[in-house]
Amino acid sequence: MPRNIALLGGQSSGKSTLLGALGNALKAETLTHLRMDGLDADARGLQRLAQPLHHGRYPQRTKAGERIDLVVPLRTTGDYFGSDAFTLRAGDYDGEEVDRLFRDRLREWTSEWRQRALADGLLLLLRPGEKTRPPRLQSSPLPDDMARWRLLRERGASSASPSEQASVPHRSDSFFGQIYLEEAPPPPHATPTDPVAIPVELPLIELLQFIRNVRELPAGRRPRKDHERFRIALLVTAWDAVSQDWRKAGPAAFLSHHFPLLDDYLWSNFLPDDVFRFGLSATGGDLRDPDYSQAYLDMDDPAGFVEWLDPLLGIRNSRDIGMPLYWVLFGDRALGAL
Amino acid sequence: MPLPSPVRPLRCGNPDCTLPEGGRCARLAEFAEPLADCPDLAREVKSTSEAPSTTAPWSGRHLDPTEADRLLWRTPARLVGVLGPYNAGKTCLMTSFFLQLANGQRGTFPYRFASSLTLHGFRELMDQAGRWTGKEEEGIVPHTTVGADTSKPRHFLHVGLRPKDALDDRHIDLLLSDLPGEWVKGWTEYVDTTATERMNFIRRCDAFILLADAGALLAREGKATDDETSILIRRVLESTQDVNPRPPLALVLSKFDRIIQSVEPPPPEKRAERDAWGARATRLRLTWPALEDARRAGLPIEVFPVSAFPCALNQGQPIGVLDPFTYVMKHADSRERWSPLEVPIPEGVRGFATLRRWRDEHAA
Repeated sequence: MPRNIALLGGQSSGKSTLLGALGNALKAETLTHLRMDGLDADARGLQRLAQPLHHGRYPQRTKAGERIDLVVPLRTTGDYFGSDAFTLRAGDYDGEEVDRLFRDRLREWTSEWRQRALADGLLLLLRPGEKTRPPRLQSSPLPDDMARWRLLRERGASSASPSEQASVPHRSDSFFGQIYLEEAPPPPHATPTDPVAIPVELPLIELLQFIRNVRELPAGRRPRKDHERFRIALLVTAWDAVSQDWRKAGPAAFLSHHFPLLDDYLWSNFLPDDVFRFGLSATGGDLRDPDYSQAYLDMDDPAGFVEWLDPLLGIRNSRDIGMPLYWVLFGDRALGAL
Repeated sequence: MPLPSPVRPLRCGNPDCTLPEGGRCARLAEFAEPLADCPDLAREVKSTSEAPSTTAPWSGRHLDPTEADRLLWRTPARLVGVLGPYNAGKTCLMTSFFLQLANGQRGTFPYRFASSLTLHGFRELMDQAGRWTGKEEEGIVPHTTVGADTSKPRHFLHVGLRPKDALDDRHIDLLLSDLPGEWVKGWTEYVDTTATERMNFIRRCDAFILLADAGALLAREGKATDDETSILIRRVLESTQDVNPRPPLALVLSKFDRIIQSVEPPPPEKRAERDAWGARATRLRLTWPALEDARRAGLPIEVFPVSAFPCALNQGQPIGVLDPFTYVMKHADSRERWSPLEVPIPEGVRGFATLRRWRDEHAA
C-alpha cells in the first residue's frame, strides 16, 4: 500500500502554491532526494497547480467545493534515503472547507476527510496574519495582580487611554539569546495593555481532534505504540515575509507565540519527536510584486526555501522545498540530508 | 440496557487498560464483566443506513447533561459549578478564561490546553466578545438563555487539560457549568422537583466558583445582591453537606474594574479575611457570615476580585481571571504525589536480573 501524505491548511494558507512549486521541482528534478516515478494517468491536478507559476503568478485559489487530487508516484534517489518508492497523494481542497467543517458538522465530515485522517503523515500549513506580534523579552516578571489593579485605578484617575501605554518591543536576541531549545519557550507574560487575540487556529485544532478520533486516539493521550504514531510537519508559509527577528528566532518560536493554543494542543497530544516546525517560502518572495514576479521568472534555480531550527546548529536553510516531505517520510534522519 | 458487543480485536480508550493485550481491565473494580459492561471498550456501532455518515463526531457546542455525564465517567474528570445570579458575569469569566489559555497567558495555572469538545461554543462566545467596544451598556457575550428545549439543555463547556508537570501523564476533562442565572436563582430560593432535576449535577461538583457583581454588591443599594449571594453560598453548602472531600469554593467579585476607583483589593493572602476589606466589608453583612459558615463546615474558601473584560479585547488584558480556576483546581485535583523512584544503577551493569543481583548483594 503506497504511503499517503495529507496536506492540511485553512483558507489562503498556501496549499496550492506549495503543491504547484513541488510539482515543478519534481519535473525539473531539482529536489535532491526525490524523483517522479512515472506519471499518473490523471495529471490534471499537477498541471493546473504548476502552470501559473511558469507565468510568475500564484495558482488560483481552489474554488469552493472543488477538490483536486494530486497523485504523484515518487521514488527516492537511492543515495541518502536508500531506494524507496511511494505515492504522494495530496488533496488540494478549497481552504474554506476546514472552516465549513468547523461550522457545519452535520454535512461536511465527508469520506475524503476521513481518508485524509488516516494518512501516514500530515503537512499542516499555517499562514501568519497581516500583523504579527514582535518578539518580546522573556524575562518580564509574572504579572502581579495588585500592580494591575493599581494601574487600572491610576488609568481611571488620569483618564489616560490604554493605547497610550503601548508595550515596547524587544529584539529576539534578548528573548532567545544564543541558546537553542528543542521546545520553544512559551509566549512572554502580557503587559496590561497588550491586546487579547481571538485564536484563529480553532478549526485546525478541531480537525486534528477529528483526525485523532478517526484513528481512535483518546484526547490528551500521546501515542504509546508504534502503530499509533504519525508525523506532523507544521509549515509557516510565506516565511520570506516574516520579519528578520522572527526568522532568527525560528519557526518553532514563531508558532509558539502566534498560535499558543495549537502549540499546547500538539504538546499535549503528540510526542515531541513526531512534530516538527518549518518556515516555508514556496516561491521565495511575493509574486504579487511585479518586480519579484519578473525576477522569479528569470531564475534558473528553484526560488523557494525552507528554514528550521536545529537544536545544535541553530537556524538551517535549504533550497530543497521537499525537506518537510522528507521529514514526514523519514523523520529526523531527513534533517541531515542537506 | 446492555451495551453493544465490543469490537474485535479489542480496543480500549482507557490508557491504563491492558485488556486488549490479554491483561486486565483498568476498571475491573467497577465492572466485574468488562467485556459486557465497561464503557471504555470500543463497541460495535449499529448504523441505521448503508450510506456513510457525514456528521462529525461531536457538535462542538455546549454539552447536554448526558454528554457531560459520559465525560464524567472518564478518569480523571473534574466538574466545576460556575454559579451566580443573572448578569453576574459567569459566561464572561469562562470566555475570558479560555482566551487566556488561547493567548498563552497561563501564569501560574499548572495545566496546558489538551482538547475541547466545545470549541464551537467557545468560538461563538469569543467572537461576540471581540465585537464589544468597551461600553458598559453593551453586552459582552450573549446572556445564557433558558432555551426552547428545556428537557436536554446544553449548559456545559469542556476543556481538556494536561498538567505541565512532566511526571504527570494525565488528561483531565474539566467541565464548567454555564447556566442561566434564572435557574440558579430559582434553585437557590426553592428546591422543587424541576430545580432538583436541572441542578442534579451539583452533588457531582468537585469545586464551585460563585460570582457576584462587585459593583452591585458593594454599592450603597447592594443589599439585595448581598442577600442573593449569601443564600447561594448557603444553598451550595446545604447541597454538598455529605460530599467528601469538601469541595473548594471560590467567591469571585466580578466586574471589579467598575469599582476600582473606590475600592482597592487587599493583597491576595488577605482577601478571604473580612477585616482586610475595610469599611466596604460592612456592605456584605450577609455574605461574610455565609462564607464563615461554609469555612466552619470544612469548605476551603477564597475570595477573588476579577475583571474579565476591563476594556475591549484589543485594548488590554483581563485581571485575575485564572486565579479562581487555579485555586479550585489546586483542591479539586490535589493528590498525593510521590517523588520519583531513584534506583542506583552501577556502572557496567546491564539487564534486570544483573541489576537485581547487584541490589541483593549490596543490600545484604
